[in-house]
Amino acid sequence: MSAPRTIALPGAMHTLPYSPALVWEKLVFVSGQVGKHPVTDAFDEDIAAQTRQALSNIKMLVEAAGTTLDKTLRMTIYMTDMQNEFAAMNAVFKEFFAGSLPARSTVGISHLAKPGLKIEIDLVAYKE
Amino acid sequence: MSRQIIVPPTGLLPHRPYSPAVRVGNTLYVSGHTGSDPVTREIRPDIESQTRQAFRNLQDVIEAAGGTMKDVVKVNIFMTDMGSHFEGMNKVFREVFPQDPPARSTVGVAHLARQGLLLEIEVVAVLAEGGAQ
Repeated sequence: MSAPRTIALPGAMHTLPYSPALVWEKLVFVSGQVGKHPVTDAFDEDIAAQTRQALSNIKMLVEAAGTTLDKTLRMTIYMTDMQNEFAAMNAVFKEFFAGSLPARSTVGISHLAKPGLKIEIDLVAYKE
Repeated sequence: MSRQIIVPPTGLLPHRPYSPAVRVGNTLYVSGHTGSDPVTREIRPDIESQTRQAFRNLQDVIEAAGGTMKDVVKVNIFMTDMGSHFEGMNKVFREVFPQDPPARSTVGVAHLARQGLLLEIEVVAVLAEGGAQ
């Protein structure tokens, strides 16, 4: 078996002690991504924009790992206000996932790493 | 390897854009299920009923993939009030996994999708070699 390989985005801000994504054999594990721009670290207030940015970050990592979003197996979505923002999140979700959809769990949490962040998403995908 | 979508015998799909479970190889990733009735969406008020219903919902999906509850290797449980409901959940958990229980993490969450939901459970199962695919 090959050793796991770390995936990071060129120029991205990543100072925390974990890999943004890890590839092992045919599996790709993407760490929780929030709605911050990967280079500037800036984020929008609104849930649709944060969801779009988080999923864009994930898409880039999955592609850097050599696969595509349609190979996603499962995801976890953490939201600070699921009961009010679930529909808006799902609308953006459909921009990224169509047809054969991944398994998913979504939970409401009390806070994320920075005030103002509303969503964090992680996933497992596979590659051919 | 191919990616196979698993749907329970009711044929019911989630009301949101995800699949009940995805199988790749012998690994089955099952989405978070709550104690909501899959047909009526009714939520019972007590933790034991919700836990039992959530596991029934999970079991339907696992069996649709050709597996059994014995194939479950990891469980994540998200609860809105662990302090009050942990014991009630564990009572049902022991009924579901009487021997060699799976690995498990449980965390308290701020809320779930709907008012009244007390827990959400997701699992990973590794199906026996030669299981239906």
